[in-house]
Amino acid sequence: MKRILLVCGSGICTSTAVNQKVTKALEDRGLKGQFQITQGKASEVAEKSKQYDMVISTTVLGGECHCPLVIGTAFLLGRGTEPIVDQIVEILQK
Amino acid sequence: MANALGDVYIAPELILMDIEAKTDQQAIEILAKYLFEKGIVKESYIEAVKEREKVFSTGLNFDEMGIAIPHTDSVHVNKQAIAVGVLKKDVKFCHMGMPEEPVACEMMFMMAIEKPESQVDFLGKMMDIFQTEGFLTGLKACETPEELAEKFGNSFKE
Repeated sequence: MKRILLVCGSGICTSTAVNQKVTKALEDRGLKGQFQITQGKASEVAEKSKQYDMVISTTVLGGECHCPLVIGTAFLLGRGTEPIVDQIVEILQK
Repeated sequence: MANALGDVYIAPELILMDIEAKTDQQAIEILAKYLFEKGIVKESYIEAVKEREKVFSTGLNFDEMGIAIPHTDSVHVNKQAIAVGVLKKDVKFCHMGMPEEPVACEMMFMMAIEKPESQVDFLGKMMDIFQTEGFLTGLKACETPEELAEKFGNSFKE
């Protein structure tokens, strides 16, 4: 099970919307059941990212990220998401 | 009929047309104060949403139109709602996730979210709605708050 930390500014709004989109995109790629998404705040990344396989963020991070990071704003705009899904899949399959 | 809106309140009284503002901070303050006057948010929401925008910008450059979705923590919220502010002239916001990228925003969708865990359908659906061709242009062309609220609210029904 790969663990994804999905963050936005407050950990409530944008990350919730992106969570739904990322979950669907990854399931469409046949990864259902192989990943777990936890939502959080951008300010928690420096402290928590060590416990995750990757971070997806819709905002700027305040501190350092200790695992691979992908910016997920494209999921809100609904365009240019395929290269980002590729990137996420590649990280998860490492 | 499924309605992704859940208990998020959309109403003509939460639509503000012809907002005149020069900066994103001014535009946010006008709409946030209005939400406070309507009892939707606590007074603390006004400063909180302005401060949050400085750190975590919320401009989104959709193909059709730049918009912003200012919001802040649920502790400042009395009632779940979304307010719409139509800007008389576009106002520069910073893009979400890419603050170095300016977005000329023509509308604001200010969210007062209290129970985010129950809003997965709502938020995802709203992004789909914004991506629908003709939607944002059509919404901006509405002449009255009643018309705009109805069009926006109906878009969540499927």
